[in-house]
Amino acid sequence: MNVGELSPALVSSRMAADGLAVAIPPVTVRLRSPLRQVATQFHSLYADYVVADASDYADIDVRLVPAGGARRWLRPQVQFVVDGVMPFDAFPQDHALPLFEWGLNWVFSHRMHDHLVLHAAAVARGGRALLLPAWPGSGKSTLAASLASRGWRFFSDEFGLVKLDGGDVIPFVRPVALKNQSIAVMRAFDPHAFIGTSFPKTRKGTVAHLRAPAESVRRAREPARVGAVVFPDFEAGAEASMRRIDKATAFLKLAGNAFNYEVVGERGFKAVAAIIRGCESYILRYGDLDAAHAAIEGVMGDRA
Amino acid sequence: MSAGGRAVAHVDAPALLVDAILAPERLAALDMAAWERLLACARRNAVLAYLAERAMREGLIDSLPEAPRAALHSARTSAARLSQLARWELERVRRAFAPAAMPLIALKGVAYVVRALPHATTRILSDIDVMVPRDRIGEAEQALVDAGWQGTKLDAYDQKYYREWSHEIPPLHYPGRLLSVDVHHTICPPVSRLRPDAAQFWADAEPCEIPGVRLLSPVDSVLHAAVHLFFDSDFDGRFRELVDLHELLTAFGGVSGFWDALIARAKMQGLGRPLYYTFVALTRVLRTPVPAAALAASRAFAPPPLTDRWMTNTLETVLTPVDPQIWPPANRARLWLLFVRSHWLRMPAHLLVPHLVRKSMRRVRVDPLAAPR
Repeated sequence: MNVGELSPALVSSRMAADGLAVAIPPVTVRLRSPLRQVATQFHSLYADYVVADASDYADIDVRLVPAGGARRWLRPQVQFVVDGVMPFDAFPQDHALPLFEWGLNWVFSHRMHDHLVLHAAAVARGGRALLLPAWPGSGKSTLAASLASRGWRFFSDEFGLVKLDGGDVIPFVRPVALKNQSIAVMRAFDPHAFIGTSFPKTRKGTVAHLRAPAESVRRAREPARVGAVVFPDFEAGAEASMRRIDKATAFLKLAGNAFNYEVVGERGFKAVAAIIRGCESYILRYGDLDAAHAAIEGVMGDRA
Repeated sequence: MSAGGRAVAHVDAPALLVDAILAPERLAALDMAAWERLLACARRNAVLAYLAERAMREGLIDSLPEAPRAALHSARTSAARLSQLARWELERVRRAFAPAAMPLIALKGVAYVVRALPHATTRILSDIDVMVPRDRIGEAEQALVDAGWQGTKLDAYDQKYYREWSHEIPPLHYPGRLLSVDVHHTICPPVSRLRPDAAQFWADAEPCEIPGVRLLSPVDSVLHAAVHLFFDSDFDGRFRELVDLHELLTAFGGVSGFWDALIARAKMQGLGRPLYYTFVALTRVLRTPVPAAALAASRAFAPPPLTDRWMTNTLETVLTPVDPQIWPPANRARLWLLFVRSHWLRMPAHLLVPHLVRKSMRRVRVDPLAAPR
């Protein structure tokens, strides 16, 4: 059964009691919260995800609990609790859902050392993944979301999760956190996209979450071989240009992009080598999405 | 809600964790609900990588269900990397000390790594601890600063606290590196009632495979861990420290004469009481096989019967693993403070209380929006 098949009221009451366990492959997350808006927003963004049985194993156990203290009357706050620990400062209660998304990313990145974890967006078509490694601000989220809305299978806008044996990429399909201007850009690019509540004045400005395509969620357990590595470099007004880079440069850029390259050690080295050997790598400068898509078609088109 | 959902809540996770550590072969029989509770509990008590190591040692990790196996492998990989960094950082400290021929003893976590104890690569290290002679600690600090380490930016209160009441200087950190360096001149803070003779530690320290680095003798490393277990007013992580002692005694306990030497050393250094409490806690919480003769001998260090009874019960309550499912958590930290306060510290109460308050207000928080390392 999918989250969307439960009523918002049932999601809310389960979250307030034993928690709602949901498969977000490759992990299962149990979420507990008495906050009604968390249940409502989660219900709409995660509608296509499979509800796990309450007695199933959850990898990550999260509570979003109202913070205590005098401030609760004046400016209600919310705490992110994972395994009985509060790793972060409290957030304003209105930002509970962005806190869940960011907190889940943080927990995930600390627990996935049985993979090489790249700071990369990924999409796939015809069984070949396009890896978009980049640090924040490079436009990789928006680019990945726009590709997903044009029929590419969405993997992630944040984590390129690489298997240590062989270098295949596995999906971690989540809502895309769009920030500031990207929200309007995606609305214009795909008027049918479902974009949830806008959260103004977060630490990253205004944030709104784009629901991941249902088909990508359904196929979230299917890995793919990397077909191209494209390092995106967004600059407003820039002409699109796709420049191939040599394998040694590509190797260093990709290894340097990983969250946990030094943690996984030699196996990470081999995984990066397998990716770089198996496909071509490029730097993509772009100023608008359509031109970026055309450039990507140029290097991935024959793979479709 | 299914019956299975209620079953999850009824697992006694702390008991399950202790069982899993002592008898990893029982892991094979766990259902998935129990796995979830066990791993969360192990993570909360900083022993997930240790549990992985236990399962590896028994040769059964590959037969475990996929999701828990992945979690165990991940924890083990990440802790192993920290122990590798610790060894590397120790080597850097050694090089910084070499020109001045500064004597150096590696302590605690990094010493376990150098000794290649089985649990050494499972500890979640955030620093390395080293000891230098008391009269050369200023010189040692300067040598590290000259080599690029930086002192922690402390306010006047913290500076004063460290200089006057601590057995170490404020942690030194090298920009861009994960592990900081704590330089000590003895194993007990001067605020404590315990006054072991540091010269004895130096006299018995052993060379190791790294030239210029020495390690505490096995009995002294046990006594150091015992003092540390009861010393830190920070309650979190006590179970992890207890596991360290369990492993140290398991590793050294088979050596002929070890237990007699341990008791004799504790008596000589005035560290009998923490050793007695360590035996009490270990036998009650982790069922550590301390030989009957050693247990009997340690009773000479016990407090008067009334105190003994209160302490024994308190220790068991406080040192049992924390269950992360219980939210809000039971405030065992307060009990711990009471314990530390009443038995170990000689820092005057008018200084101690503000210090503990400040410490409790300064819990470490991370930023979920920052890129992880």
